[in-house]
Amino acid sequence: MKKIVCLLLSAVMTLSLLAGCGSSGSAASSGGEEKDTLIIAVDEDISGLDPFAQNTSLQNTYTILNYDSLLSLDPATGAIQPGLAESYDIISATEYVFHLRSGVKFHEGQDLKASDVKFSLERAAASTGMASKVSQIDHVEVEDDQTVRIFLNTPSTTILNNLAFCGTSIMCEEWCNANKDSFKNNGTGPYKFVEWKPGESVTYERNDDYWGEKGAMKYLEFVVKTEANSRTIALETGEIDVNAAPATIDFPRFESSEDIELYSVPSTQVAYMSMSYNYEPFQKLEVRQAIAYALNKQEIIDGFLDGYGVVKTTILGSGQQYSDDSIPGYEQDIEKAKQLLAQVGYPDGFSFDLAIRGESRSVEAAIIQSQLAAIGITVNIKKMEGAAYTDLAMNEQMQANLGSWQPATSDADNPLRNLLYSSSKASSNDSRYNNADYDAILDAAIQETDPAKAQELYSQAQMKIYEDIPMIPLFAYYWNIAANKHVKGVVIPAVGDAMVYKNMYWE
Amino acid sequence: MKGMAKYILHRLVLLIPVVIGVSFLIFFIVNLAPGNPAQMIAGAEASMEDIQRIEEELGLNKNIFVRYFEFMRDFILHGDLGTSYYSDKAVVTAYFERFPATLRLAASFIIVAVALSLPLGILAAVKQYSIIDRLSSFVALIAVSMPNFWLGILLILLFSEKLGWLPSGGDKYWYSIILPALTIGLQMMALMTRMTRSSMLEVIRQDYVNTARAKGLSEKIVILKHALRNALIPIITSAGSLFVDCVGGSVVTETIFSWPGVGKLLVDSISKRDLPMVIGFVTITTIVITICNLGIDIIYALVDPRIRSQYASGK
Repeated sequence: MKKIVCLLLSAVMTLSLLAGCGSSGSAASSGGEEKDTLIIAVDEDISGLDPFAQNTSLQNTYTILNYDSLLSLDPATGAIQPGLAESYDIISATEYVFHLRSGVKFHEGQDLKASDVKFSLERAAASTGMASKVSQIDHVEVEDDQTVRIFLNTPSTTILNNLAFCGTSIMCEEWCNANKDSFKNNGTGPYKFVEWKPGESVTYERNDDYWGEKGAMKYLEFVVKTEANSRTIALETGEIDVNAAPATIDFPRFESSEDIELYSVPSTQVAYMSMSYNYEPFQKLEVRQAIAYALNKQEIIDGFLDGYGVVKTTILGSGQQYSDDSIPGYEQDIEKAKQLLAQVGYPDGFSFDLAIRGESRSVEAAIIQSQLAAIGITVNIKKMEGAAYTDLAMNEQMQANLGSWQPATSDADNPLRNLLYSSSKASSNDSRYNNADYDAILDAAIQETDPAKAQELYSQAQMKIYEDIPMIPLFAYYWNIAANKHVKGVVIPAVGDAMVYKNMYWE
Repeated sequence: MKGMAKYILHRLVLLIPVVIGVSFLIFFIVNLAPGNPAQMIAGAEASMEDIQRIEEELGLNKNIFVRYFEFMRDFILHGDLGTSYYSDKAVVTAYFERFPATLRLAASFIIVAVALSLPLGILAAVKQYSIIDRLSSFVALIAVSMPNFWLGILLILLFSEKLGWLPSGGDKYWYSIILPALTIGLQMMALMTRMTRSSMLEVIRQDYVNTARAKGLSEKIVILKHALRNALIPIITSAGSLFVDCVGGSVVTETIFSWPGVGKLLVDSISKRDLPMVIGFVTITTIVITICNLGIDIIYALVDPRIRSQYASGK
């Protein structure tokens, strides 16, 4: 018996010795050697390699490393700048000519030609994820190797925002046709795709022949760590250098830590509560007003986001084009709310189902539930699985829900149209708002080339949302990145949903 | 051994109706569940036309029985379980890319569990009611009462954060498997220690053990060679069923430790309504589990000659 116990003890000791021999694998601890890989932890994995297959922020983050579009966005300001196209001419409201830079090569060696642009835009139109981004394009003509002419089927100024978005990335026609059965990355971007280990990591290598400002680090390795705690711990031990999705609950730890820097800026992702016109009580404007007067948005931010949020009175994020933060909000006024309800026949309140997707908004829903209880309204929180939640909207069975919108492009039209335009019924117009005046404002604004006039129109649209209350904008999330103090060049973009990593480096 | 070969063949043939039944059930359940896969793929900005176009491309607008027929035809004739809606990868390829990681994880659970529970269980049985017995019961109770995700995070906090010995996740180094193995292995050990102890206790009481002692054999040989051998069947049963539980994927462990196994991929596919992946994974898992169960039954035969002859004679 003693022998067995001895054997066991020595086995455990040996094991722990071996474990101790290997360090925790942090590249950071290797002194003297210059660090050439920046390790970033992300909270999920991509589902596939094709940038056009799905419009998700993680995929877009990778796409902008690998590919370029005709135009690009300045991360700090969100302004549209030249990309693969050095310049463009607006021939008419429906005709644009783009002049491509010369000498640009794809990572696999092919030269960039105008025919690649035509191919890529047509590929996007036939794709599953990016078709809506090129739906305004009627057809594309190739004039010569450096010149592309794009014809729109409707006058639109947002085509420029769409062409600055990575969903219209330019791919190599020859390469894509040769790799039709199994997509392989080949872009013109600042980083080359190295490999994808599904469920584990994605690795990129700097493109030293890049036509523009070269990437700072030689290698970028994105590791998948789905559990928030393990991302936090990995950052503290130095196993990773950047935590792309820190949990707000860990912020005090980061802020008091000497080794970690927290970057936190208001994002363009705005959360809202939507009330459906299909549900009888919500058909009365006074009921919507009452609910707006009953809510205390700051309390929601404090309780749900630990203060890391900004109250919003408009659905457009502050960095979004034509957002108008002067739109008034409804200051909490319980008495007024009760009066309004009584006015339209609900002196004792009523009840409704508030649908939320998954677990993430449950604290927020509970806060709203208690705020509305103060005016006699009973909120039934319905936590739903993602696909079932979407189905509820599509089958016109939603009563109210908590949603949010993160515009992938920088234009005002994106959120205003997707969320509230009458024909956006598929899944995003939760409230089923159907207002011809609102539609008309958006249709006029999208064609308006004078920025001052466009601002007027978009402010009108935002005011209309304030007056009709199809939805109540609640708050803008903060975009947070936690990184090791040695990581420099962290810039959180002002618009879009793709984080910019190409300028980050280790010092 | 001819009888054994016949037995194995018989079991493999039985696999066919099982797989057909399971794939039928899962195909219809997944297709009739709420949620529109085309809408999930197309995303929030898609128009109704985009969604309909994708439905056509994926064949979702065809009659469900036609689709089931096409699915079974491709599966039986070509071994093709379809292609993921998201990654263009064949389901079979995607599964076997991640399956080795899951298999290694499941094996590591059992190795940890057996390595710890066998000696502890034997000791507890041999020295019944002693300190060792009571201590092992106590430790087992704690291990089994802890939620596994909590234990996992505690282990990460200790070994990764405080001590810096082990990585907090991923499968990068050979020692990355240690923390995930301990998380579930310790809980399995708790269950198996009790099983081993009670199985050994039953055997030790038998007359033949006393006979062996009377013949003058050392206590060590009596316990380890004679008693243990006979106590093995229930131990193999519990180890086997615990292993089979995990071979389909341990979602919680894979999530906490970002372990690239099939469990997490399956759960993600369900959320995204990646139907071919869900149906394909469940079908493949059925086959894998059935083969593992067959493997366990073969191990019984290797260990116990009485069972061996039972199989051979066609019982």
